[in-house]
Amino acid sequence: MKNAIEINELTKHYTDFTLNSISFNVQAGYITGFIGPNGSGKTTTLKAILGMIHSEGGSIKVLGDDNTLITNSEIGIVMDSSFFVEDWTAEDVGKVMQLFYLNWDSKQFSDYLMRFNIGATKKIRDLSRGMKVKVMLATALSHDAKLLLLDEPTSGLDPVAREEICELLSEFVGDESHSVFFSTHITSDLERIADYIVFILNGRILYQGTKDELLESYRLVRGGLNEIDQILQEHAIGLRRFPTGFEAMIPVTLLDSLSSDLLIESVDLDQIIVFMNKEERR
Amino acid sequence: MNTTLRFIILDFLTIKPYVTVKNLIIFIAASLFIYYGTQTSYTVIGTMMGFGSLYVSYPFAVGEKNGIDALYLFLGIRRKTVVMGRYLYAFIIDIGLGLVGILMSAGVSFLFGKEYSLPENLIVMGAMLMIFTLIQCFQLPLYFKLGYTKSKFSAYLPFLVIPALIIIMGQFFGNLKNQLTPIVTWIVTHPYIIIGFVIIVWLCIIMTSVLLSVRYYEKREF
Repeated sequence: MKNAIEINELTKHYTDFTLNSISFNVQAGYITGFIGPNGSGKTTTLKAILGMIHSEGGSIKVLGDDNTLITNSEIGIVMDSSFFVEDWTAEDVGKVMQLFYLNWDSKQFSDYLMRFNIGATKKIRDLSRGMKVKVMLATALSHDAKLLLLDEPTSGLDPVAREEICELLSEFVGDESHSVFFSTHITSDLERIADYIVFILNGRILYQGTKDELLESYRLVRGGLNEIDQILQEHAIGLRRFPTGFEAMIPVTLLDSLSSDLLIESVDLDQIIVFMNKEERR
Repeated sequence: MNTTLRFIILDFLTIKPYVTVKNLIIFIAASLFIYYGTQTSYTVIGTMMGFGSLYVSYPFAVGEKNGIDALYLFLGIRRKTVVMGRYLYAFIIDIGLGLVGILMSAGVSFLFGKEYSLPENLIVMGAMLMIFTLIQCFQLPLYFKLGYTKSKFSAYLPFLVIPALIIIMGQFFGNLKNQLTPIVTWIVTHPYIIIGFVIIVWLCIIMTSVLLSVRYYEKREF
């Protein structure tokens, strides 16, 4: 299977936000990062994929199927907040999962709990946010899922916990039949582990492709205010003027036409989001 | 195992942390208190089933607090199955606590040296079952449509409205005693027709309630 997820012209309207006929694919066998600032439509898209909200147009195919529910046992889910009853213990979570997942592996679940240092009898309410994410992750990884969908799993976690989660995801896609779709605004995690990026802004997909291609497509330009020429005026993305100079992002294709006195640096995903967002607001 | 049955087990696992000895003691004490006030052992059945109604709303309350509707989707439980499972769960709770009520009714009758009739207790339980399921047929579509928090006030209205209606109707029919005598006589002489009619109406109300709940829950977004 080439695509783990196929989204075609997905549309959803709210009073203050519209998911505007978005289309993108998530390649099977890779980690795809879903990036964008808060409120750009990441969670809405994920909720539509999971059937939590009803789309008003377009189609969603998950693991080749139009109906997400049929393939549920092949999807592991980690949301930004726990969906388990707070008074359940990790053990109770295992019991519930065993009821519904045919491929549920109790031993693997216990092993993950031990690896994460989570007591099986500890109540969900007594766990930190990081621990709750780990219980969701342990659950997602213990029923032979082919696709992991994660919504902001690392937000609010310390660097050690984030590193652990990223390691696990990298291990997971070691098997080529496994895929990860990972929504986050902490892009440093994605820079380490993502192969592909889908960039959403104000309910529109601005980019989909490899992470490296995206990072290579833009450069950060810095210089004095008097160095802002016609090309920069017209093509600079998110141009910021300071009393001492300016900074902007430009497409790499325009590099040759810029003055050699300008300071040119590579950009990271965070900067791409920030400059694109600024450009969008202009 | 059938998905609906598994869902019912999930509902019981959801409320498990709230089924405590403390609650049991409160239920028993309240039942005894009401029995002491009325001196009728049947009231114990009604009281226990009333407490059962609280447990019927628990999966909605606990679920809403913990975002459990999303979990149902992640587990691949169809929305229709959630609704069917929840109605069956409610029915099991009603029957279960009704039977506990019958046992307690036997216990208090024995303790206080009162007469005890199992058939009469079963008839009372049957009548209570109808009343409580009808109340739940009103409550569940509201919970499925609006969620527990938004609908809890309206959902508990029947507990005020039904006793008020009984009092009002009692007075109304009391005034029409003479005119109603032939109807009452007919009812008494044709009990099976009346029972059959009541059961058909009861089943129709349940079916309508289930259909409404399915319709509302299918539209919900989480």
